Amino acid sequence: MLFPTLSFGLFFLAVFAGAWLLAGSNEWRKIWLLVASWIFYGWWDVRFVALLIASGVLNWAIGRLIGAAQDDEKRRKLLVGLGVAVNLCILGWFKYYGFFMEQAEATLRALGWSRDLAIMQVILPVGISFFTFQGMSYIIDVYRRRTEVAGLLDMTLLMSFFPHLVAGPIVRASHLIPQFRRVPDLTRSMVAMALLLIVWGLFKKTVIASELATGFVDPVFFDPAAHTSLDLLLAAYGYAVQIYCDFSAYTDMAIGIAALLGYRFPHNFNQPYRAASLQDFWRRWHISLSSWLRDYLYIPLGGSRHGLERMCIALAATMLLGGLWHGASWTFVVWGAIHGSVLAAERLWREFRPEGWPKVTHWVGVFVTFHIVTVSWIFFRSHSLEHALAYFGGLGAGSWSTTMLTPLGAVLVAMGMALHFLPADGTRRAAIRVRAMPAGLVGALTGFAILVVDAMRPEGVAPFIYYQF
Amino acid sequence: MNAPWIVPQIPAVSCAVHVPSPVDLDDDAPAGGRPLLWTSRVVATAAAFLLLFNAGALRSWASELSPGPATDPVIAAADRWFAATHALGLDVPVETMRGWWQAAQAARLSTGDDQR
Repeated sequence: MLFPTLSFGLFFLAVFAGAWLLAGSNEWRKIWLLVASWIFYGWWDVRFVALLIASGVLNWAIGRLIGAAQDDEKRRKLLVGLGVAVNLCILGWFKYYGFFMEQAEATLRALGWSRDLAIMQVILPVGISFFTFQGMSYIIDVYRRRTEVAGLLDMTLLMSFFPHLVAGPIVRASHLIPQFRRVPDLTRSMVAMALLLIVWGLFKKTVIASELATGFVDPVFFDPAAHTSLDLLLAAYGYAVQIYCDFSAYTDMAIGIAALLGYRFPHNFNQPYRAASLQDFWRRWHISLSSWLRDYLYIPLGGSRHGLERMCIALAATMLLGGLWHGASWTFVVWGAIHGSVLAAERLWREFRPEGWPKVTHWVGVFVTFHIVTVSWIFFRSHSLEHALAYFGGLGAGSWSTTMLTPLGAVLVAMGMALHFLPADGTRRAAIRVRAMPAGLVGALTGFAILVVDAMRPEGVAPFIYYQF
Repeated sequence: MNAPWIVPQIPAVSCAVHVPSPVDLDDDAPAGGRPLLWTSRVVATAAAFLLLFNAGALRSWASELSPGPATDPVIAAADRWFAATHALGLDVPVETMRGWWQAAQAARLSTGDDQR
């Protein structure tokens, strides 16, 4: 069930009505939301609802055991290690088993031991990377005494809550469980912002991202050799816009949907392509993942506390693993390696920039950062390293005469870029106006906006890019 | 309801973290009374607007349901509702906009014949 579909709209109307009709009992309200979340998840593959429940119960039980061992640090450490290991095993089995078996087979073949290994086809449950990371952060936070031990209902709802379940944002226990303690308040401000985020997200996903994907980016990436260098260049920009509009649209809608149920989700995007350095980019792109990687990987690996060399190693390792988190493929490893290397290079440059050398101006920084990110997206989007290299080969072929990009596609790419340079508080100011309007007018405007988006959307909507992660 | 299986029995530290959310408008203006009633009216109005002016989407959705005793009445009702709104011309706005959009999609910069 995808957000921008009528099926989801009808599902959400029922969930919304039930959640507020049950506002007299917080526990029943949460049970309602939990069951709704399982139905939402079961829509893809009902078998994996059991995995979701098992994962929630497992993390709840380990959190509880860690909490019970208040004064026994050795036992707490053992339990948190066990919990992280089990979560990683679940993730590893579903996501990386095939990849590692293929690598093992290739290595054995290279060593002259040519034999086909029996590799099972393991189906990847939607959103597994998100909910296992959420589970791990919970037990680590309980271990670090940064979050309270949650009840079973709260823990399973935290991990299953449908707005963030399949593609984030990664909402931590310390953010959401305190909100589960009582029936949340709904304010006009929240609702006005939620409606704007939902409509805006619908537009970004179903108009900009879908149109660019089907009309231009997908055909070019499918067969780079059949397109001119100009097409390849424009498709790289197009994909940069597409992935931003696709993923930020999901986040906007997730935040809006949660807000209509009374819950506050954190920011996940902040105009990332206006970043003037890669460090700045990661403060603006998928903020819930970058802060997760910072808190649970980069800092435990040493962070910046143990000298420059250790910091560079920590950065590289964090980004390599961050790349692998996205998928079991060398293209994601290269994507992570590019980001890790450039982040480390930025730190080294800040440290060792020769005296008297001019500082890079802000706009040069924005231009360079955007192009580094765009180059890395080519690896991210390609299905293999050979494919990515063929893409770069085509870019260097020097055929700049024609393009299949339509005027509409060019406008959408320009629009996707222009979004990054609009006032950052534009939506907030619009929400302040909307909340003062009568309900009938807001409803009619919302209906009209959805009607306009529906007139522009293609037949059917492709799944969000981040569903595969 | 306060069953032990859903409420932790372990003494816990209080460490709720306030994280900024896009839905926090952070201003002191009065938020307006009876927000749930206001929200319900907004949702109902938007749903009614779409039911009137976008019945084609409902019909498309219903037509993708697997036929059966439970879904046949839904499919028939969606068809009848679409026919009624079409007869009143309520689908003209969305069809007009769709036509504009399709014209924009069809526009080309060049023939593209000289691609390699």
